[in-house]
This record gives sequence, structure tokens and C-alpha cells, in this order.
Amino acid sequence: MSPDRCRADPCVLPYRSAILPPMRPILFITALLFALPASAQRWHVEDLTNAVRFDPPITCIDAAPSDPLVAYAGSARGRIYFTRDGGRSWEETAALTAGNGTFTGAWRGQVDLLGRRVQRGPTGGLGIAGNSGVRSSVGQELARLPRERYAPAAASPTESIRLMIDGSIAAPSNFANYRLPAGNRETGTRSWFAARSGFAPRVRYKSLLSSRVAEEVAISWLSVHPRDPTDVLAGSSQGVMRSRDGGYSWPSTLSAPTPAQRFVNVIARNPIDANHVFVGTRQGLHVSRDGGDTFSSLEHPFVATDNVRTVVFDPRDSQWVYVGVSWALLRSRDAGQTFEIVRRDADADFSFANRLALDPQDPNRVLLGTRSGLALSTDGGATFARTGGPDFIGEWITSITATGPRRFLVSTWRDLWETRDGGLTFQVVLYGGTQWAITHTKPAGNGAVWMTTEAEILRLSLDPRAERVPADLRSRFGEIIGAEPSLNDMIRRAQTRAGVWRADLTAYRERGQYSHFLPRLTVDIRGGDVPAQFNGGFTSRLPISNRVNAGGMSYGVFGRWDLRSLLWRNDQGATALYRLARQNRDLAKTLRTQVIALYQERRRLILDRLISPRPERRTQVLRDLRFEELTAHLNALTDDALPPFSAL
Amino acid sequence: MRTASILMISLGFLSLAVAPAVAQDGYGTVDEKLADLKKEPSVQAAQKAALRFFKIDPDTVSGMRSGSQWKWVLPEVDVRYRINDGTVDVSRIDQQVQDGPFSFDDARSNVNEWVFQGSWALPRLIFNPETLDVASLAVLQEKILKEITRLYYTRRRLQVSMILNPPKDAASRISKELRVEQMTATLDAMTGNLFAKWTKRNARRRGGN
Repeated sequence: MSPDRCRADPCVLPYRSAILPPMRPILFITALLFALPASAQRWHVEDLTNAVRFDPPITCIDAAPSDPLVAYAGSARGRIYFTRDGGRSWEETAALTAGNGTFTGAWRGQVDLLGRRVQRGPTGGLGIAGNSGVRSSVGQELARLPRERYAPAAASPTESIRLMIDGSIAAPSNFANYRLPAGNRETGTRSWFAARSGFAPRVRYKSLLSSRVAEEVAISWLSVHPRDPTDVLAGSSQGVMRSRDGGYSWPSTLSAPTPAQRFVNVIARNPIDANHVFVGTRQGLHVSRDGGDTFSSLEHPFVATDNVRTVVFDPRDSQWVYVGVSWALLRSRDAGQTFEIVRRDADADFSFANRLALDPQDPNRVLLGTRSGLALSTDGGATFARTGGPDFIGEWITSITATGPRRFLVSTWRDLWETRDGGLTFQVVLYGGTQWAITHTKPAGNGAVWMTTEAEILRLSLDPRAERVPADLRSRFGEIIGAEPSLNDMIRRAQTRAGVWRADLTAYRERGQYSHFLPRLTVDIRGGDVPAQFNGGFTSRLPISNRVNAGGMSYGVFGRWDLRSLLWRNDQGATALYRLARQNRDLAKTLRTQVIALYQERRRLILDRLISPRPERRTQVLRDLRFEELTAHLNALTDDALPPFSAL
Repeated sequence: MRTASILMISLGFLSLAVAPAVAQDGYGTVDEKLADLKKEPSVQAAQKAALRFFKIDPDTVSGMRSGSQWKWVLPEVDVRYRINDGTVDVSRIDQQVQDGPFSFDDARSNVNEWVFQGSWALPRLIFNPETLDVASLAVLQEKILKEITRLYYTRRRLQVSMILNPPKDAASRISKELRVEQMTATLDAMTGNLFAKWTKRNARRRGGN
């Protein structure tokens, strides 16, 4: 065998096959129990979701560093919500929509949309100027009244807000009694704004209703200005929008011709100069020096057309910036003029630099999240080593947030983990449900963290009272889970019930090999009678007549063996059974995955109930409801393997 | 002064202790409202009703599976009955016979025959691929169980949330109530009106009382 063939295949994960899938959760929970410190500071989770009003999936969140009570959340359906009371109540600020690739917006509430600098245009119509939320060039005539029904396109392609003005104005000096319909020309959305006394200086949008258009804008990233909580950048599938009025209006500031160039993956602000902003898209990296009003594209070949996943400034030097792309981790020491490759791996998934965070106290400690686990560097990116163990291998790291010196929160799609030793060991903070996917985590100030899942907005804060983990936790937990069926039992029961338990199927098929020792058996029974009469002779004589009556029964038993089938049978072959085999295998896999997920989450809830037996009433009821749901679902799949549980 | 502050603190604790148990709208305590939820059809009933509604309840599926296993006990039966009504008339002239050379033969017969044939494919009693095919129903079963359980508890969580954390404004309350209604309707659509029937029965019982 050649040396090349002995080399490990980079596509094969070295640890993955070491632990059988059904065993992993058991080992995992055991490891968790042993990893639990005697006195653990636990995360307190507040669910701030008003599920009725949100339009999930919620994709991103950001809090205002200058005011911890203010936060913005974005959804994949173009909705942006904000809170001014730390998440107790949320208000929808905008529904961003796109028509023909042009950004348009919808606003709620009263805002000084057009500001005080409204002036008469040079052609005699109404000219709208000023900087008042909707970005328009000073002096640019956007609308004329009364002859033109909509505003001409703005000069810049990013200024594509179009107002459809429809109304006659009798007295230009006083529009107090007029309501002017306005809307979006492409979508035909119509609303109105009222002109108050002294129209020119005081035009106000009263209420421009959300428009319903075909193309939605998915909000992918939000970034609030560190000093001004009303100045927000929204990264979306249609580029970047900037709101300077707390989210009421969202004029577009960065757009591009193709969807990949427009889709924003990340927005990063320089911690020293907040107006220095990087925007990474699916195809390219852009930089702004004026807080996100204008952008220029970086032309370096490493980033010019690459899928930029993460951008993180090094706090030691505002010119140093890490950029994660889909094939490597890069670093620039001159604010994006040149780049060097910091890390690249033979495994494409492990090379995919999806998220990155630096230790706030020691920026040489770099934690990198890839599409297949975590890598840690303690020497400023010179060397990286895999960390987090096999639990992260194959897992897409969706976010990393530094919560303090040597402390990071790391999320995968399903679980939230925490490290308190700079990324060497990890403990679980939250376990996801079956239909739960963590989309984003962001610091919320005072050590708290905002977290969004597809349908929830959660706020995690460290419980100031260090809870004592009961000393007999291990034995009690062991007692409870020892009295219940094991995971393998549950999987067997679920698969047996569905008729896809592999052992049964294999035995059935093996038995089938000998089936053709038996014949195809035919029993034949026949009966009947043949009455006959023969007349004959010469016409000149008397005829001779004979009567014959024949009849009876006959029996026969026939066996037919197809001996060829003892060697090979078509109906057991790959072709004939392919569909069935695949269908059974898929079902078995689905059931296994589902039972493992439900069982695992249920066990975590048991553990949680032991650790915090008496939480606040609502948390307790909701936790018990979830426990009831998991038990009921598992029982339905396994023919009541577990004792029933009622939360109410 | 000190006594007054102790009294006020005690009252404060007392009010805190009492507050969670009393519903804000005055239509009963929180515990009563939570207990009322238990009167609704259980998740097991919803699961069973859904499987029955889609005709894939476990009994039906296992019946189909055992049916497919044992179907080859019954034979393929071939029954035939045949009637043959035959007539043969033969007329001859015998040249050597001087007197009356004409002779004849006339034969008539009726054949009544019946055949019964039964065939058993005995190999199929041991291995029948159709038995494996029944698992395709289990796929559907699993999906419906998942959907119905998820819906049931999403609705239940919303109900509990409305009891424990009642919305402050009318818009939120109406919106939540609408969402509960929507989920109840979806559950009804999947369970053959399990909840609607229960509501009707409940109303009749109350009316009767």
C-alpha cells in the first residue's frame, strides 16, 4: 500500500464513528453531570417572545450599547421590531419590502419624514429637500404638485424611495386642510400623509401602512450605533438600510445588481470609530467611513467576490480586522487594503470561518466557529487547534459571543454552550427543542445576552445568586433515569411499532431466503358426467340403440419448486426491494433521530427540574408543559413506554 | 413606626403570595383556569382522533400488516364448469348389401365437467415483500403524530401564557385569542372536529345543568 493511501482522508471526520449515534446523548449527559461544578452560576433565561405579534423566523438582534433597554430584532420576512423597555414589549417599526429590486419602506407613527427644509422646486412644483430619515439629496426634487403624480427617480440608485403624490393644491402657502395620498408606484400601495398648517416647513407622515408586495426582504443583521440608539444599520437580502429615527424609516444605503452581492451576512463596527463600518455580503466586502451612508467595495482578490461570513475588529488596533470567508480566516492589518490567510484547513467545512470572537481581555485568544466545530488560537491566530471535542464536530456554529474574560457563549443550531476557561472546556447552557434553531446571540449589556431562535427572543442573564447544585444530584438523577426505559429500548420500541426494527427486518429477510424450499402447491379436483346415446343400423332394419353414461371424479396435487430461486431470487434483489429498503431505512432513521431528540431533551428537563425545582410559576408551568409534550410524543411513538405526565 | 413598616412589609408579602393565584379579570383563580384546561380533550385523544381521521390508526396499520403476512394462506382458486352438447350423424351406403344399403349412426352426448383448482404460493407465507410496504403508512403516521402533538402544545402554551401572563392591551389579547382559535380550527381539521364536538357536548351539558 502506498504511503498516500495510508494517509487519513480529510473528508472523513476522525472522531465521528467512534461513538454510535444513540450512545452519544447518554455519554453526553453523563459527561454533563460530571462537568457540573458543585457551585454553578446559572443562566437565567427570560422568554420575551410575544409570539402572536412576531412574524418568524426571527433572524437577528442587536442592543443599543448606550441604552441597554433598547434593542432591535429582525425577521426573515422583512419585519423589524424594537423595544424600549428591555424586551418587555415590542413594537414593529417597519416592514421592509422590495419591488423590482428597489427598496421601498413603510413607516408607522408620526415622523418628520420630510423635515423642515421642504422648499418649492425650481419648476414651480413642490420640491422636497432635506435630510429627515428618507435620504434624499439636498435640493433634489422628488415630487411636484399638482401635475406629476409621482416623484421622479432619485439621482442615486440607492435613493429609490418614490412618493406618489396625488392631489390638487389650491393654496400653496397653506395646506392645512389637505390630505395627500402617497404610496409606492411599483406596488400600488396607497396611504396618505396630512399636511398641517404651514405645509412647507411641517410635512408629517401620519401613517403609511405596510405594503404587501411580492418580494420580501430578509433581515439578516442589525447593528445599533454605540452612542445613538436611534441610528441603526440593517443588513438584509436587499443590501443595507440605515435608519436614523429609531427604526421608523429605512432608506437603502447599499445595494448591488445581483442577489448574492446584495445579501448581507454581517455588519461590523470599528470599536474605536463607530462610523467605520464593514459590511460582508455573500459576494464581497464593503467599507463605510460615514456610519453606513456611503460604501466602497474592497477590491482585494481574497474578498472581492467571496462569501464573507464574519468580520471582527481587533480591539488593540483599529486597523486590524479579522475576516472570515467561506474558505479561510483572513486578517488585514491595514483596515482592509491587504489581507493575509490566517487559517485554512484541508476539511472544507472546518475551513468555513462562520463566526469569530476575541477574548475581551486577551485578544490573542481567538475562538473561531466553522461549519464543523470550533477552533481556538491562543497566540493571536498564529496557530489554531480544534476545541470543544466531538460534540461540535459536524455542527454548524451559528454564533459566538464573548461574555467576559475567557468566557464565551457558543451556539449551534440546537444547543447553547458556554466556556469559562477561554474555550478549553464547554458546558451546556440551553438545549434546543425539536423545532428550535438558534439564529443569533448578541451582548445585551451588564453581562446579559440576547438570543434569538427561529421563533423566540430570549434574554439570558447570569443569576446573581450562585445556586448550589444539590449534593445528591447524581444519585437522584441516576435513580430517576434508571427507572425509565433506556434510549436504545425506546428506539427499538418505536421502530418495532412502525415495523422497521432492523433486527426484525433482517430476520425476516434471512428467513425469506429459505422460502423457496416450499413449493407452489396446486390442488386439482375435477368431476362430471358424460351421458351418451348411440343409434345405428340399416334403414331397412330395426335400429340398434346404445346408451352410455360415463362419469366420476379425479383428484390431483401438484407441487412446483423453482430451484433456481434457492440461489437467487428477484424479489429479494436490490432492484425489487430498493424502494422498500430505502423507505424503511429512511423511516428507521427518522424515528431514531426523533426519539433521540425527544428523549435527550426530556432527560435534560429532568436534570433541570432537579437543579432548579422551584422556578417562577410561569417558567415552571411552561417547563412542565414541555415535559408533558415530550412524554406524550414519545409515548405515541413507543406505545406508552413512559409513565404519563400531566403539567396542569 | 417600626411596627407600621413591619406591617406594611407583611402586607406586601401577603399580597405577593395571593396575587399569582387570582386571575386579573376576576373570572376565577389562575389555578381554576389551569384546571379548566385539563377538561379539554387530552393530547392522547387528539393523537388517536387524528390517526383515526387519516385512517392510519395503529390497529388499522397492524391489521394491514398481518393481513399482508397471512394473505397467502388463502389459495388462488380456479373453478371451471363445462357443458358440451355433441351430436354426430353418419349416413353410409354399403354397396355389398342389396336390400337397403343405406345405414346410419347417430350419436348424441352431453358432457358436464367441473374443475376446482386451488394454488398456494407457500414461499410467500415465509417472505412477502408487501409486508414491508406497509411501513410506508408508518411514515405518514409519524408525521401526523408529530404535527398534532406540536399543534396541541403550541395551543396549550398559548392558553397557559394567557392565563399566567394575561395581555395588558386589547390588541394583544384579541390577537392571542385569534391565534388560539386558529390552532383549534387546525386541530379540528386534523381530528375530525374533536374540539368542536367537545365544545358542543360541554355546552349541552352546561345547558342541561
